[in-house]
Amino acid sequence: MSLKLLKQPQFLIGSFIMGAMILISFTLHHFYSAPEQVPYLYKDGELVGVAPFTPSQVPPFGTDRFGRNLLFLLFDGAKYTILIAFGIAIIRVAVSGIFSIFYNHYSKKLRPVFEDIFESTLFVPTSILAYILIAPLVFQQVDSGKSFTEILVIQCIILVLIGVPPLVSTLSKDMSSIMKKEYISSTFTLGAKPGYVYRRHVLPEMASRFLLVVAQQIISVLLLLAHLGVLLVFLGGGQTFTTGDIFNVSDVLVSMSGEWSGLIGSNYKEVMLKPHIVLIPLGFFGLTIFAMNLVINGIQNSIKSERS
Amino acid sequence: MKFSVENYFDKLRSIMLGVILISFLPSLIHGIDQKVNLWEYTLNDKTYSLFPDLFEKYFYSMTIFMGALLVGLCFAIFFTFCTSILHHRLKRMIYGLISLFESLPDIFIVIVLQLTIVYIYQKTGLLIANVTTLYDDKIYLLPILTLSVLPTIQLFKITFLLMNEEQDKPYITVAKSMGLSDHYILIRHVFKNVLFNLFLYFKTIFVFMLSNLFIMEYVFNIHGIMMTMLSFNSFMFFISVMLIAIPFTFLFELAQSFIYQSTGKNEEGAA
Repeated sequence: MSLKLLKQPQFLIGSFIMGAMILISFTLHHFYSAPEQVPYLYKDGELVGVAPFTPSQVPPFGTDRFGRNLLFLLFDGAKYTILIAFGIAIIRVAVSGIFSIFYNHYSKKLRPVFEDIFESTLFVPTSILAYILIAPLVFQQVDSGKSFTEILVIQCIILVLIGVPPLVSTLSKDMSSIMKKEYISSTFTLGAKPGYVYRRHVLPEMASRFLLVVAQQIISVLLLLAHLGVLLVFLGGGQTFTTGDIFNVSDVLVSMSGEWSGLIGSNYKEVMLKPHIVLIPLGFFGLTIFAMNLVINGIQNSIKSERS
Repeated sequence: MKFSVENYFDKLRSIMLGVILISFLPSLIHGIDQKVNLWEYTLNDKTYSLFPDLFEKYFYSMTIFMGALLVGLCFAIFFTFCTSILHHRLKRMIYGLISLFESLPDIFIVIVLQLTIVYIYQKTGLLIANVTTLYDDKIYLLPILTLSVLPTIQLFKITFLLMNEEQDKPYITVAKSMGLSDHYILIRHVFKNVLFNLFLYFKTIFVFMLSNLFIMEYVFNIHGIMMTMLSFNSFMFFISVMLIAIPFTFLFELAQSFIYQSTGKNEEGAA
């Protein structure tokens, strides 16, 4: 299957975009030092503008309120954002894979009850669920003085657990449909133990399915991150900076990790004044999701060609 | 599974159990906040009392939701109809374009639409619709249009794929060999079947639109039912979710029994 996947052009283009972004993000510091912050722009000794600048003033993407170059920030944050999304998606699928084996094997009676309880999550959007679980943590950060990594780990655990119940529901349905196949029942007749059957037959057959689900989960995690960014919930917590002059003091919550949702959130108030600061990071989210969509299309095509 | 009131209440009970579980999860994890008053909630530093107020918000949100669903469905069907007459190559181009649009986060589209209205107002002085709410006045046109954009795209994609699938089926070949015109087949047969299949995706579209509704309310500063879920009041959260769950579970059950009945009949017909 893996070889056939490499023949899908959509899969190749998609993973090329993702790979390139991560690679640039990691090697950026070796080739370029971070451009210095330019809060004021001078031309022939005269003050022309104050940060944030539009893309036309400071090409290519302008700067944020602190005068930091947006392009550099975006590429710098790409590695955190994409790797966090990858990590959460993979752990989600791994955890729910293990759960769904147990769920599928042991609880024939519990299934309808669990299924109905799972239905209740349909009526609560994931972003709201994530917000009400994570936001108190961010408020606590100031009081209890939890460290950056502590908060990041707790947030990631919550983000993983949010996605597990629906995944268990779908994966266990797939598993039970595989278990109904004839060759599985003949393996059982020959005296195989359930553990062996799952390891030897069910999981390999699910391999391409798992790959597809991971790719889909990456997209949903990215969307969730974008939403949380707008709601001012940042991964790893935030730090409050005071900006503006004496007559117009404003507090800005800045993300401590450099990921994109932090960029969106801390600049969200500017959306009516300088929309590019919010729209360009969101556009980058869109680009990543588009690349992942290409990857998904590639996987789906290869599964289809395998079947026919 | 035929629709019965008993089934519905059974399901509602389990959902209620699930929602109670979810609504107490934050206080379980982070400790119980004693200060919260159950019968009122705060939003943007303003305190509201829970009960008469919530219903007004609820009906407002549901109006927008239903309006957007209707508009989205109409547009999606209209667009599918337009593209189905087009040339093969153009179809693929449109499909690619749709995939590109689909990748944009919903919040991007909401903000861009809001900014476009502001931009048009700045340039021409023509205010097409209000872009945000202040205090308690209500806006309808722009939220409905904004909310309908993404369902339109998604519904269009689904109908497009279903349409292509439908074109290869044997009954189309039979109809063609009978000398019926392409347009007649398209409207009379293909469209009917596609619309029915579209019905099967109702849950996906519902979940997707609910999430969009939330983001839209947040960006447009609309005080709707989704915003009340954000105030850290477990009781409040429970009531709001149940208000959404009660009618929609009914609709889902109804839809499911309808699907079951008609597909059951189809199988009988085939056999």
